[in-house]
Order: sequence, then C-alpha cells, then structure tokens
Amino acid sequence: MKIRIPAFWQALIVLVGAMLIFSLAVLPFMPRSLMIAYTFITFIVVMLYFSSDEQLWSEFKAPISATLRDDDKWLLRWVLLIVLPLLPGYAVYDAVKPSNETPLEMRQVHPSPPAGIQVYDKSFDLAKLENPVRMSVLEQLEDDSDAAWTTYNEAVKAGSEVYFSNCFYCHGDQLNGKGHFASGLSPLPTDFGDVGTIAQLQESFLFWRITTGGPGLPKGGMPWNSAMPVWHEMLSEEEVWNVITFLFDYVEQVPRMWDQGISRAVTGMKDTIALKRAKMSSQDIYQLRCATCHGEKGEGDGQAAEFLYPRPRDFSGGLWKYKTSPGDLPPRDIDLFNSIKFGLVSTSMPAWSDMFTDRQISGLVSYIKQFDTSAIWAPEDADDEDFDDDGHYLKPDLLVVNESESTDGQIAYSDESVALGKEIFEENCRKCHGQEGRGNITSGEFLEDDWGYRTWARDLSKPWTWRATQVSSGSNQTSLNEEHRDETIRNIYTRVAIGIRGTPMPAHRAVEEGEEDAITPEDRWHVANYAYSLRSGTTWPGERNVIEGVELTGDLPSSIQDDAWQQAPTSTFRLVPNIIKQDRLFTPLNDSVSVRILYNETEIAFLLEVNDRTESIPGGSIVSQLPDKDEQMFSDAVALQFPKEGAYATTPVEKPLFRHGDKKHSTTIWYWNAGSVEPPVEARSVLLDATGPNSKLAMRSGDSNLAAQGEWQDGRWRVIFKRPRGIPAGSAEGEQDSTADSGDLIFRKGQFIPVSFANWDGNNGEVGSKHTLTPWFWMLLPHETNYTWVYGSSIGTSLVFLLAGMTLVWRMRRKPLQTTET
Amino acid sequence: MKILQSVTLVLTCLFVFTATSVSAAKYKVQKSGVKDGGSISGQITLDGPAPAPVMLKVDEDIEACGGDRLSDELLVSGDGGVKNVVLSIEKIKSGKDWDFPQEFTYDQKGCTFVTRILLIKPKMAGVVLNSDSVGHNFHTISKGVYNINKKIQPGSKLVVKDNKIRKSGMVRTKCDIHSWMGGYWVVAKSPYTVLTDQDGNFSITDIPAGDYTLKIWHETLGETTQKVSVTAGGNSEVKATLKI
Repeated sequence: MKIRIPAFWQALIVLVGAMLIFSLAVLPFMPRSLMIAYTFITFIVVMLYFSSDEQLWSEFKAPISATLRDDDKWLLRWVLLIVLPLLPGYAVYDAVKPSNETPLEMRQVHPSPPAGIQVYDKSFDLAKLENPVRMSVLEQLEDDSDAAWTTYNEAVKAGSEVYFSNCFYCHGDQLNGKGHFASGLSPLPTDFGDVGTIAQLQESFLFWRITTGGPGLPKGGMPWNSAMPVWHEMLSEEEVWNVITFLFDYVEQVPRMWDQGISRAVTGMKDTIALKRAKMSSQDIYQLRCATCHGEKGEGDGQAAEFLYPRPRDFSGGLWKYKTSPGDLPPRDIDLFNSIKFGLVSTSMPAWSDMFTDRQISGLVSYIKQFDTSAIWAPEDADDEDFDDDGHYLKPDLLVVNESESTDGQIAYSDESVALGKEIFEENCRKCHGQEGRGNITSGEFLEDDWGYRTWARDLSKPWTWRATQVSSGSNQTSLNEEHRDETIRNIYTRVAIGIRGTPMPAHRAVEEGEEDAITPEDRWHVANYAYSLRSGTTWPGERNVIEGVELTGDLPSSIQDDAWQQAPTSTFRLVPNIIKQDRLFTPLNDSVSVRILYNETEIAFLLEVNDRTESIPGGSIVSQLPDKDEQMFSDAVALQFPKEGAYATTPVEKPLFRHGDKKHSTTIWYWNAGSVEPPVEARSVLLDATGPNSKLAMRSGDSNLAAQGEWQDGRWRVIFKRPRGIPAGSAEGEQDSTADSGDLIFRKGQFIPVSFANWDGNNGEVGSKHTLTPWFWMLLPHETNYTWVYGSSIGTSLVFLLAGMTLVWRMRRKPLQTTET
Repeated sequence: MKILQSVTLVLTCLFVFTATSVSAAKYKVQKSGVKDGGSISGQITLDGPAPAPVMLKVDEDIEACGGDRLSDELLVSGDGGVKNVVLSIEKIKSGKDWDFPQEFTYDQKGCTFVTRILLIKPKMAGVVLNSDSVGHNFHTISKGVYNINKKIQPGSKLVVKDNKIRKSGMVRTKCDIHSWMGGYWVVAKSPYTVLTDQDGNFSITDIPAGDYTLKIWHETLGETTQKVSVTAGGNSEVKATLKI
C-alpha cells in the first residue's frame, strides 16, 4: 500500500527542506537577504501549487482549519497560539539587539590577472609570459642535461638567497605562510606548500603578484589588507624569476603550463628532485633547510642571520638556551629535538614537525651535535688527539644526558606564594626584568649575549613571547587550564634554576659541593609563581579584535591615570615591522599595541599602550634609555591612521591601502612624538595627510584639534589622543559636516571604522619608514543599548501576533461549517 | 658518482687525520727538567703617548660598590711599560714543569674582579668568591674553554672543579649587573706563559734552546708576534711595542 503524505505536510516538508538547503549549503556563499528572498519565492510557489486545484487546496487547508476549530484540538491550538508569536518576536529582537558583527570581507584568493602589466619600463603580456630561467633550462636539457641542471641549480640558489633575505619573514622558512611576522597580518601570507596555491598557477601569475604586490591587486583581492610589497621597486626582473623558480623547487611543485611537452619535461625535473630529496642524509637536510640561518658550519651565521632578532643559534660553543638537563650538564638530545620539532615561538625558528619526521629530527640532532667545539659532549677522558684543529670531537662516543633538572616539590600557585615571589623577584630579578617585569632594565646596563649582540630581558607580561616555557594549546590562551599553568610554572622554575646559556640570564642553583643556591628551591617556586602572575593584566592579541568605544556622559579624561579608562575594554594587536617599503625594518622589539576608546557627544579619545623597554628621548636620562653605541637614537613615537570620510565602505568593504592609503583613498594620521632633550624639542602631536605609498606625508598646519600626551613608566608607553568626533554642533548624528574641508573621518555611532596603528622605538634605530605597524582593524562606537526599545518591540510583536491568532481562532470557531466533508 | 663520493670521503678523512695529528701539539713536561735552558726577558711598551685613563661610571649599587673608578684595562707606567700583557711561546711542545699554583682564587671585591688578568692552566681547580654585599652575575665568555653564568650571592662562591677547564684559551669574565666589571682568565697552553708587571717587564725562564715565536697579547691593544732565538744558558732581550 502506498503511503500518501497529506498535502499540508507535503508543503511543510518542501518549505523546510528548501530553507535548510538555503541556510546550510548556500548561505555561506550568499547574502542573507538573498536567502530570505529565495525562501519567500519557495513559499509563493508552494502556495500556488496547492491552491491551483480545489481538491488539493481543501486537503491542504484541512489540518489548519481542524486545528483552528476542532474542540478536541484545544491543547495544540493553544500551544501554537503561544509558540508561533514568539518566532516573530525573536526575529525582531535579533534585528534590534546591539550587534558587533564586523562587515563581511570576502577575498578572492586567486583574482583574475590583467592582460598585461607595466614594470621594469616594459610591458609584459601575462598570457604569453614564460619564466625565462625555466625556458633556458629546458632548451639546454635537450642536448646537455648537466648544463641544464647547473643552470637550474644556480637559479634556485640565487632565488633562495632572494627569498631568505626578502620573503621568509612572512611566508616562512618552510614556505608555509608561517613566517615570524605572519601572525600580525590579515590575510595570512600565502602557503606555497598548499597544493591549492602556486601549483595551480602559471608562473606569469606569480610574476604579476610579486612585481606589483598588494597594491596591484584588483578590488576583489582586497589590496588594502595586503602587506605584499611592490617588489619591482626592490628586486630586479632576474631576481623575481629566480625566486619563482626557487618557490616551485622548494615545495616540489610544477607550475601550470599549457604546452604538454614542456609540462612533462618540467614535471620530470621535479620528480628527479623529489626522488633525491626523499633520500637525503641528515647533512643534506641540514644544508638544504637549516644552513640559511644557522650557517654551513652551524656557527649561526647563515645569510639570513643578520635580518633576525634573536639571531639564529651558533651550535659551536656549547651554549644551548633551552635545556632541561640538571645544572651545568650539556643539553639532553630531547631538548634539541623539541626545539626543532616545536620551534621557538616569536622567533624565526619554526616548528619543523610538518616537514620532518621524528626520525629525521633525531638525525639532525646527531648531526648538529657534531658542530660543537667546546667539548661538552666529549667524554671526560678524551685525548687531545680526538679533536680536530677547531675543537670538533671526532669520535662517535658523544655523551648522552638522560636525567633532567628536578622539578620536585612544586609549590602550588597561590596569592601567598605570588606575594613571597614578588619579594624575591625584586631582590634578584628586577634589575634586568624591571619593576613590573616588562624587561626594562632598571640597572642602566647594556645587556649583550655571549657573541656581543645586544639582547633584552624577557617581557614577563607577554607570555606569547616565552620560548620553550609558555605551554600553549593553540592560539587560544583562554582554553589554558590549571595543568597548563602548572607546567608553565615548572618551565619557569627550570629556567630560573639553570639559567639561559649564552645570555645574561644566570643560573640560580648550586651545582658543585661547597656552593650555595643563589635562590633556594622553595624561593624559586615562589618566584616562578610570581613570574606567571605578571600576565594578569594582559590582554592577548586576538582576544578582542574589534575596538569598542565606551560612551561617557561628561568630559573625557585628560589624564592617562584617570580611572575612567578602566571602563573601556582593551584590544591588543600585533605590531609588525615595515617590510613593505624601503627603508625597511627587520628586527623590531615592540611586538604589540593595546588600545582603548572613550567618547562623549562631541569628542573621542584613544589610549594606546605599547610595552617598550626604553624611553627614547634623545638627550634624556640614560637609565630609561640604554642607548646602543652602534645605533643612533631617535625619539619614540606612536600613530593612528583613519581613512578620510568617504574613503572607505563597509558593504561591500573597501578601504585605503593600509600603509598611507592610495590616490583614491586618502588617510589621516594622528602622530605623537616623544620629543628630545637635546636638541630641545617638546613632545608633540601632529596631523598628517597621506595620499599613497609613493607620496610624501603632508603635515597639516593650523589644526589644533588634536591633543595628545604620553608617559613612559616601567617599560611601557601610555599615550592618549583626543579629538572632536567631527559632528557639527546642533546637527544630528550622521549628518555631513559641511565645514570640514580636511575631509577627516566623522566618528559616527554604530559605524564600523577602519583604524591602524604604528610605533617607533627610537632606541632600536626606528625612524621615518623604519617602524612597526598594524594592518586595518575595525573600531566601533556602539549605539547605546535602549533596552525598553529592544525588549518592548520584541514583546510587542509577539503580542500583536498572539492577538491576531486569537482573533482568527475566535472567528473560525464562530463560523458554521461551510462545506461538507469531502 | 658512488666512487667519487668514496674518494672524497677518504680524502676528507685523510685531511682531517693529518690536521689532527699536526694539531695534537699537547705540551709535555720533560721529566728530567730542562738543562741548560735559556731565557727571554724584556719590556713591552706602548707606541705613542699613554691615553688619559678612562673613568668608569658606577650607576648601580653605589653604596656597595663604591663610586666611579678608573679603568684598569690599560695600565701604562711612566716609561711606557704596559701592565698585564700576556707573553707566550707559541707551539712549544715540551719543556719545564708547570710552575703554576695548584688552585686559583678569583674574587669580586668592590664590584671589581681581583685580579684583572688571571693566569691559569688547564685542569686547574679554583673558586670565584664574592666579597661584596651585593650579588653578582658571574658570566664567562669563551670559545668553548669555560662558559658559565651564575648568580653569586654576597659571601657565597662558585666552585670550579679541575675537570671543568679542559683546554687553553681566553675566557672573558663579566658581570651583567655591573657592566664596568671585566677581566680575563688566560688559560695557558704551556708554562712558558707570563704576564708583564706594572712596568711592562717580563721574564720567561728555562726554555730549551731553539728558535721560537713569541706571542704578545693585550686585551685592548691586540696581538703581535716576534721571532726570538734562545741559546743554552743565555738570555734573549725582547723589546716590543703595542699600538692603540
């Protein structure tokens, strides 16, 4: 027997099914309004279908009328009467409730390239353009394969040199888009290893993307968010082709090629390389993957080393930073293994677990140990004959240390322990780590590592910079539990006990008989607990990505210390150095900026906080400055940037290029500079107009509406900026200020506004274009939540529907039956 | 390819082996002592006028450390003699017995290392004291000779066991809290290693007759060498100058 679904249920199934398809399968790719329209059309079609035939229509109506009328359906009737009006009520609530959903940014990952580009004073037809390096290799390959491979290898080597002095900061050591500055960028740099990226593309596409950079993207590619430099300004045509050849070589991929013959030849070469790489020895792996930073002989002097802070480790001196073996013993193999496998956060040492197997990493550990010339792993009775001229131990019987520094007797994390730890900290650690633990040396000493390079004490308030110590569970620190905390504290304890070799961080435990602990184990636990507690006031980057202002009724605070600032939530953003445009900065020290916003009817104020170990005011106090004898010192400075009024949009999103805007989208920069004692220049704030990456910033004169003041204390700058919101007196929100000829943005309520930040650490040689910055983030001055309106309108809507429903039921039940049963 | 690799490997091994056997110039004490040895003596002077002494600024723990002080890096006598110049006979393979003390003591007093240049030998034991009322970060820097970085509290000490310093070379000492503190441990390769006195004078005795190269090193003036012939029972006079 065939089961027939009644008409009403058929209609319902079709409608619900359609809605589910729209919302689950289609919605991620289309606007909500379109989905509502589709659902509505489906509804009309269903109704049309069921009303097209009298009989079908009655069948369709039957359950509805029955529910409305039948005496035995009173319960269902009342349930529906109550429940159904709640739905429109909720819809109204959802629409009017305060929302902080940022404007949707949909980026085309592979935007279509233009027909041609104009770089190097030439025109390039992208449809026909081929990589000349590859073409010449293929030509040679036909009659002299050795020569072809030589040409190819030279190009790859040259490309590697270009890559590791220009590209790896963002695209990473492993070309996986996880360079050490990548976390400050959005979108993230391209992962070349992903088969969905360059393996899908012609080399001419890469040539276009590299030479014209972010600004060369069409709108769909969101050029304003891209940090990709315009490389034709900095690299030669040959260098670009070499680096393209290198990219495909490193990730063992083949570009898209139309000619079958050529494609086969290129694939053949790739397969040869892949086969060879699959059989690499530890030495080969080291020389291919590690030597660019750590040097051919492991002396930390690879070609990329000079662009890095901290510098890559020199493996020759027996100075291993993060070891867990007790006291003075050489590191355990697992220490080296872990550093390779998991990398060292907030340095350029990536986690190699994606690229190497554990076996390969173990092989590398053995290989790296042979670079040592300090005899740390050589047996005690080794003969002088067993060492070469440079001190390398030549026999294979290297010491293996298995025991680890004891972490027995851990003292639980508690307020009392933290308080005790604070005392020990002030006695033993403050001179380098600073009163508040921000790594600002209060002893006035210039710290350097064992190689004579300048180094700084860790900023203990920023756990995301703690290598090999902070236990992380991905990027989300809020998911850290007590177990993670206690393990982190054990790691701090170990660091305090055995120190960090090669740096000024000393060991604090006794090793030999006759020695005393510099800090007793018990006190080491307290100080470890205290060091952990220093994060308590920290907002992590990524914790809150939209800066939400808080409205005050009276005056905005004019002082940095004002308690009113506590009301505003803090957002923290990563600072990345300007590696976009020359002169570039590669070794920044300040890695984040925290921001708060307060506003009232007429004004808006920003509080910017940047942890900066030095107060750089040329000619000022030495202790807070610690000048570097090799670097000229400049004044510290901070800045904010906004698009001009009309130079951005939220639906669809359009913004100025994030560094100084562009011709069509200009920006306003609020700049504050700490001034100098010698020559005497007061701290000052100025407005700058920016009209593009290649035009000079124009300093605005005669606008005294920007007030700013800064204060440096205990390793932190706090700077406040205050300025009118730009809403003319007496006019309503949203009305254009006709008197403003600067074109400055008006800070309207309820509107998402792009804002970006910049910081100059004068002590680090940062001046002019050498500085750190952020890409655009959204800020919002939320509408005041009118709860009477939010709840009133929702409840009101439900009531209206309830009344309408009751009226319908009342009328239906009054009416006699008109038709006979069919 | 394989053959080429093996050949390279063999050649490399040979090279390493040769290099090793040449470098294995470990100093051997002549059991019978040196008979009819000669000596080298002389003075190391500064070429040019002595620079004005450098004043070190003491801006940390002034109470415990005392005030500003003159640098003891470069000490020049009235007639130009330079103190603390290290003289050593290069590549001498055997000779007299070590006349160095069994143990060394290195002190931190008034936030200064005592003494500025410490002459020791490999496998020598010693202690590093802290006679001050503030803690020091005793930090040594060397090319794998002896690297340590330890906090030494007032009245406490660091023990250097005799298996810690295994080869010769220079060890720079410093304190990361008090940056003006500085000095060197010179770990001698042979007993024919001496320091000049305050007038720049030195004397090396009981040297087997022969032709030698004398290495002359000063921490700020750098390094130079001088050829010198030692005759049995005779004394060779060496006058050398160092330039800033």
